[in-house]
Amino acid sequence: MEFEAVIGLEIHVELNCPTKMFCDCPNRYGDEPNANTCPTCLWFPGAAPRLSEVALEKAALLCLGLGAELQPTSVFDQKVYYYPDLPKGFQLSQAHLPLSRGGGIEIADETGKPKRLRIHHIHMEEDVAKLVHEMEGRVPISLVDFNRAGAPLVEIVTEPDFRSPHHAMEFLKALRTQVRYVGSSECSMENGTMRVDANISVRPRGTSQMNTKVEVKNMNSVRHVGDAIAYEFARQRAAVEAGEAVVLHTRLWDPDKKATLPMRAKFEGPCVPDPSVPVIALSREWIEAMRSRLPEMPAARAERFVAQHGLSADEATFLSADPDVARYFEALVGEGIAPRMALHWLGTQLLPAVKERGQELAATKVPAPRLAVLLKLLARDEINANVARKVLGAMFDSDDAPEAIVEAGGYRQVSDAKELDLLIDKVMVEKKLTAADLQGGQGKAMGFLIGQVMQASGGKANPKKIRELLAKKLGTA
Amino acid sequence: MASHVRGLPLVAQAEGVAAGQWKSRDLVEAYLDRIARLDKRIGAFLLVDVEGARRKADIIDKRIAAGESLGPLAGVPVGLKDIFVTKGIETTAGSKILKGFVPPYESTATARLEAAGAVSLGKLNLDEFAMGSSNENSAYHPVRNPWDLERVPGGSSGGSAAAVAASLCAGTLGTDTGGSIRQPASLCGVVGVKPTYGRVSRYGVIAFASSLDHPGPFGRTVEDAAALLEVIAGHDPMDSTSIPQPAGRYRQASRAGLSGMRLGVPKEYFQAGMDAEVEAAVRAALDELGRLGARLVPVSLPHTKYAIATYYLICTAEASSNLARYDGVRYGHRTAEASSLEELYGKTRGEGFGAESKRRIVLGTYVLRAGYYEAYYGKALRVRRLIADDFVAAFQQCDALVTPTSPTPAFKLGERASDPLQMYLADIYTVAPPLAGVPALSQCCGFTKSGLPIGLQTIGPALGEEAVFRVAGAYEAATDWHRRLPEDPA
Repeated sequence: MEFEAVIGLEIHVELNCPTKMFCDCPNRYGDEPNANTCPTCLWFPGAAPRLSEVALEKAALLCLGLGAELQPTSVFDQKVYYYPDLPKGFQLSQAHLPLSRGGGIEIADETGKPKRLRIHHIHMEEDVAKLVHEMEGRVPISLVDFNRAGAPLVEIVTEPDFRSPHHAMEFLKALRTQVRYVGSSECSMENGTMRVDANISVRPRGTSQMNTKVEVKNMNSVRHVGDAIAYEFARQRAAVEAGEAVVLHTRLWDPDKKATLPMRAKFEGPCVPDPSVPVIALSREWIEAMRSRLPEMPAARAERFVAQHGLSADEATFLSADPDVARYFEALVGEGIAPRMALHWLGTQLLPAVKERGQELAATKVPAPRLAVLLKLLARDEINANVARKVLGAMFDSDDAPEAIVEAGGYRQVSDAKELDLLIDKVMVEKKLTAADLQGGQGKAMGFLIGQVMQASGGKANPKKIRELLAKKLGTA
Repeated sequence: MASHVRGLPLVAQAEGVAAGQWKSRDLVEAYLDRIARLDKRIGAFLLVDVEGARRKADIIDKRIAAGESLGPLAGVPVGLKDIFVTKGIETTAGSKILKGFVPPYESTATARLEAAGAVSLGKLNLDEFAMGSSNENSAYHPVRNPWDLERVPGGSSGGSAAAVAASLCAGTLGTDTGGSIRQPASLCGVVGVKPTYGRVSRYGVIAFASSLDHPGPFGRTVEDAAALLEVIAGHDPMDSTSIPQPAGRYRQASRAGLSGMRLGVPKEYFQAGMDAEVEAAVRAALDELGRLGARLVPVSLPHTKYAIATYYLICTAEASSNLARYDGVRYGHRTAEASSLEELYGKTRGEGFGAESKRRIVLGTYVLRAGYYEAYYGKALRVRRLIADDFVAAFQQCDALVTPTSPTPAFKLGERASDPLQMYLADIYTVAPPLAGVPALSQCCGFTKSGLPIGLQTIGPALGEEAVFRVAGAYEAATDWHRRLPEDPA
């Protein structure tokens, strides 16, 4: 019998708000443990939650960006369980009436066909504290850092529409792009701003039954999600084929063993509306105001790039996948750089250089107007591409204008015919080349000669000009 | 001075200090002297902040001497139910689980009192986490009723009521969840006000049942309570359920008279189970209100009979999650020895909570457990709506309702302690207003033959505190029950 996987995802996304969800403490990582706490996020007796307006707006934008429908009424519930990472014995989460319902993402499946993966709902909730387990001498101790407690999250719960690791990975990549577009989160699994749990069950292909599912946690990259799903599908299929029952439980992905391992069942306590956070009532006007704040989303932007700049669909999709890249590209074009040149230099030179230096594109030392100056020198043949690459490297270490770097380095391109003629003659003599050599050999010697002339000029010769002069010399012009 | 503060209204003390007639320090010393002599027998205080009170009084006196104009309560000694967190001063909620807990912040209500110039004498006794109607659930010691030391002062704000009755403070703050201000006010013969839900901030008030908790004042007179409420009421951005409206002019309302007012008499509040002396006193008060110019209107609150069941379902459910935070991890009591997390929780909570808190945590967890939500909590929420609708309908026909506060006068210590159900049923007249969120006040309307106070409750529409103060102020002006004082215990 052939089996298929039925997969749904639960995705926690940490919102990039300046403060926590229910108090004014900074929502920031890397600070001294418990520095960012107050009576409210430590839930001291008498503390009262105040829902952050910014968190609500960022969550709402995220929902709208995913095509979800904001609900006119949503409510925070208390999810009761006891654990030291949860300061008040319950987590504030929207269990019954979520912020939005519906929405989804269209991906390309394994065969390139479009497949829509639906979102069931998106709700807001607060993050919990971080536990650190250490040894104090020979005694194991547990420490709690409440800096993260109360950080604003949304949880995106999908429909069980996924059938393969590919579906899940493509969905997560597209989700990251869209959430980054609306500016609600960095959405990175590597730094924990996106956390993914997968619910997986198996069934005979072609049937519609929903069998007992297993939840898998602890994947910290999109690739791990794919690996974990593939492993878990194979594990369950083998179990079913061996006549064993799949039991409802939670497993952890172990990236070293490349396997999922069972984890202890969690106590699920009661869940009731919280009386201290007022009902969230969103008016039609408020929702429309949010919608008007949505940026152009990646699919629409890619389409526009194709139409407006004559790029291919793949090129446009590459540029649109990251809002910062798209913005940078448009800024270059806005400075008068030809779209194809902008695409080429951004993709093959600037992005690798920025990444290599550990910078953020949005805050790089070489913003679009500065790169545009350099590219204009190149476009006007004042420098050649080799030099442009060299100058770009220098621009990361210097605040000088590109022209100044070109002048200081004596990089200006040599296009002067007399000067180049002399160089050509010199090389031909040195390398004992004759016009006949150049005319035969399918231009092999020609390429060699151009390279040698470039070298002799210290990389500054204008290759186009050399070619012209040679053609003249050989009478082929 | 010491003899003068006995029975002296708070408003008179504030005026005396402002006029330079008395020093705040003198008032503080007079009360400290009374507390030292009398509170051993009464047990109203859990903590007397002698040094803090003296220091603050001296500051007030200096500022007055320098000609500064201070707040409306400048120099007046007050007491705080030990459920308001006070920065740097131990706050226990009457529970062993918070023994030694020194809050790093101040509740809004007490901060406003201090900003108005009031001087706190300390923290007042209560039923643990405000759960109880007799103050016998305090983890520290019971409070005795100043009118009869064999009897309870009521609860849960028993210390707040007894302290005013025995002239151990000029005024006090309490909280009311199902009657915890009004019932002890009734049993101790003082004025207690539960304002509209959200009128006084809950920020820094240790939560029992968040949708029902109402902070409010106690005073010797209606005007005293009004003066305190004017200071602590008003919007607070730190409490999301706080009503975005300024405090009203309650002192003015308490002097406005009640002519032309229609007062509803709900028939469900005058049924079997009421003590005969209580009924006689309340009916006499109704007659008096009629003579003062009010028109008495018979009304009905048909869902009253469900109020106690509804109240105990909701308050225990909310209490079970509000009390979940006491786990020994961040503050308060932590068990000495535990070898696992489960054991840490079990022993910490087992040792820290008293019997009534445990009972309510168990009840609340039971009504919320999976599969029973609709049958219990969900249904209780719907009945709560019906009860609130009853009040809305009644206020179509009248401006305020007048009822007894408690079906009986103060009972003896231990008398009901073994029968929690009997204790819960005594809340019959006080649980509906908090379920509906409407304001209500209790004041003295007479005494039993044995000399125990009887309480009259006035209930107003939501945000209608002024109506309540008009009725209570007019009644007080026409009677002199409030002038009677209990004998100081020997």
